[in-house]
Amino acid sequence: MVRNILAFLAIAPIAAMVFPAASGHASATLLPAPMAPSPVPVHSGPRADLKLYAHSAHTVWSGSGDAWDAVDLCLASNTGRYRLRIASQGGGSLMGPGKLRYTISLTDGAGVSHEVTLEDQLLVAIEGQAPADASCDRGPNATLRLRAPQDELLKGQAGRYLDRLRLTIDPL
Amino acid sequence: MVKLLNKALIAALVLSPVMAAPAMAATNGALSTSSSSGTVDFTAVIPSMVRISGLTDMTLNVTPDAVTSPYFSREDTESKFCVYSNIGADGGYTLKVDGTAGTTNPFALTNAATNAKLSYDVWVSDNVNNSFKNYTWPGNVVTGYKTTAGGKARPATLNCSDVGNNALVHVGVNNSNILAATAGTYKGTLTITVSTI
Repeated sequence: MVRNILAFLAIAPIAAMVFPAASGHASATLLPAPMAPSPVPVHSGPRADLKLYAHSAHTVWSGSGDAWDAVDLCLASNTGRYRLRIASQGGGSLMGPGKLRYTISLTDGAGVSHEVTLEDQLLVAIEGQAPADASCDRGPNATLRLRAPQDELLKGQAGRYLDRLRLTIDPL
Repeated sequence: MVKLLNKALIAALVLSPVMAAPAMAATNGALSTSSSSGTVDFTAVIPSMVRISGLTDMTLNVTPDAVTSPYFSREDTESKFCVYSNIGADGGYTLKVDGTAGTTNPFALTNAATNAKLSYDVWVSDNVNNSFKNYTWPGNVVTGYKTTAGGKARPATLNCSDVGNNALVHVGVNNSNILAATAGTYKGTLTITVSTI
């Protein structure tokens, strides 16, 4: 919704000029002839958009094996390439009664998988690809997966663990 | 020969799912000419879990010298095993031993040929250096046990491969009972259950 509003605001000044001519209500003296029929680009310059969707699968750990979780994303850039920066509030760990190390992987819009071990890094950057379209109108095109390995989960005391990731996309 | 067969009941209690729904506090980014940001929360809930493993069968080989020794009035043996618990920093748990009830002592072995009973005693411990920490009987729940009781670290593996066995069961048959029994093989099964607190 926020994205749509911003798109509208960006279009509005241009539409104000073009619409009178298209509707036939503008005089020739107000609107130079070459501007009326030419396609005017609504946006210019590199742009990127990011949207988060509900998680794609509810993974339940039964006490053995790794634990997985995933969230669907739309990562869009009108250049077709972007840099996704991931900042971990927990410094690369799920925080609770103790710390639980985990890894993340990103499958980008081109289907390329990027494996990332956060370790103690607060910030990592992934360069990914997306269709050269800055719109997230068609829903998710990428998936961010989190994996907590069994050996790490067994080390942890019973309890709730949390990490908050801030995702920032920049067009390249 | 008196044979004591000891089998374990593995009790792994999973109380709640580990991975809860993420993105509960997710926020979306805005279309931007520079960058767009959003946040996503990942939450993992580790349930309280406990597991017993590594139990081995025990055998008491009774010899004339042993039962007539002036220094010992009982034939003993024990089996060390592993308890994993993620409850608290100490890895707390409770322990219960069940088996055939005895007459002169809490538990009993049985001679399959004659159906005769041979009573015996059982002790349990969460410290492998203390064989007689708690005397127990069928149905009794021993509380307050910790996987760290013997000075070991809390196991981070299900089979204690990192810290070694951290608990034991000890059995003893009084010489008086052995001498009163007819010759033969006596067997029994102990079921040891560890539980979350």
